[in-house]
Amino acid sequence: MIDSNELLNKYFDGEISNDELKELNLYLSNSPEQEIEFRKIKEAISLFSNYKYENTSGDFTNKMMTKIIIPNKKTVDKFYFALISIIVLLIITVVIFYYNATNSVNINEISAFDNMVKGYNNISKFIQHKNILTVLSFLPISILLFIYFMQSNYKKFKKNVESYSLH
Amino acid sequence: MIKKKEDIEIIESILKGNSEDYRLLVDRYKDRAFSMLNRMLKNEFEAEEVLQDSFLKAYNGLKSFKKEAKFSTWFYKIVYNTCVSVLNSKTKRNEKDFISIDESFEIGIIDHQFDFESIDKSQIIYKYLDLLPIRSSLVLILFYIDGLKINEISDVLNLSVSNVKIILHRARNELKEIMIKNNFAKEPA
Repeated sequence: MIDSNELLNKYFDGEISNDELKELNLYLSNSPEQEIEFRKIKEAISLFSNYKYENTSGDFTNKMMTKIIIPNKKTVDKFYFALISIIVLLIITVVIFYYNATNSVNINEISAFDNMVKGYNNISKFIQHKNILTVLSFLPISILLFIYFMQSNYKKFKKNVESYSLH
Repeated sequence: MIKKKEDIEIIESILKGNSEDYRLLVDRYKDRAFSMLNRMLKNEFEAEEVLQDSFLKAYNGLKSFKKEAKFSTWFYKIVYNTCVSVLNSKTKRNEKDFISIDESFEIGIIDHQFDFESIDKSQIIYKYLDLLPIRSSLVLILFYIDGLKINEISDVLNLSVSNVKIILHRARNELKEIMIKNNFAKEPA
């Protein structure tokens, strides 16, 4: 036989079976005090029929939608802007490097510019034309690898943000 | 008559790129979640801030939402966790406050009575719920108003099913006691 309290809790939790309901009815009909308690709990629960949700401010949804749609677009734009900028910078660096390596500089002409690029030219001289071509042939592969690396990291970052937001 | 879109249909539409459809979910759940937050934070301004934060988190996490789950349960969990984080950080900031989040959920001023005659009877349930410990009133609202099952409540509040049952049983009895103390109960026929 199940404890009367357990029967009452099962009833109010909506988990009571037909047999248990019969048992509860029998118990309540034999115990007027418990029946009063039972009715009072029912009455307390019935107060929820007056419950209404509290309202948010009138423009809440609009404010929310502005926050959701615009910032996300900006984040994506920023990422691609940074990616393209890095690629362009890489290409410019390689072109300058190639230009310096292939164009001979007159060492007799002394100018401020020469002083500035002196160190750079020394490196250029060190790297022969053939070597530059080899470096350039690897460049597209390096760029592709770089893009892949950036994209996979971005996906990982987004995933982390999503999982963080759930906890 | 226009058929009301199911939550899952709205989510699928958002994931296809129709971000504007998120408006439907915001409209559907904002007041329910706001009531829950207001009950926990006791401050409308803060409750709205946390609600915005929760909706943002839910939007960003929609891709990871499992379609077999209920959006309401998943969303309430986000709302609850966000609110608990805010309460935790507030407790840490306030050195004078020695009460932990769990303790504050358990403390209720059940002995307190109020002037029953001066209160609109339709408002009585809010007054009674204010006298209950926060967690008890949350469990009652999630069960009786939002229609969540006990296992769903346990998921939202990060509690075991048996703990939710204990809180629910105790909360019902406490509500009855408050009602009797404030002479609201009808005399038995």
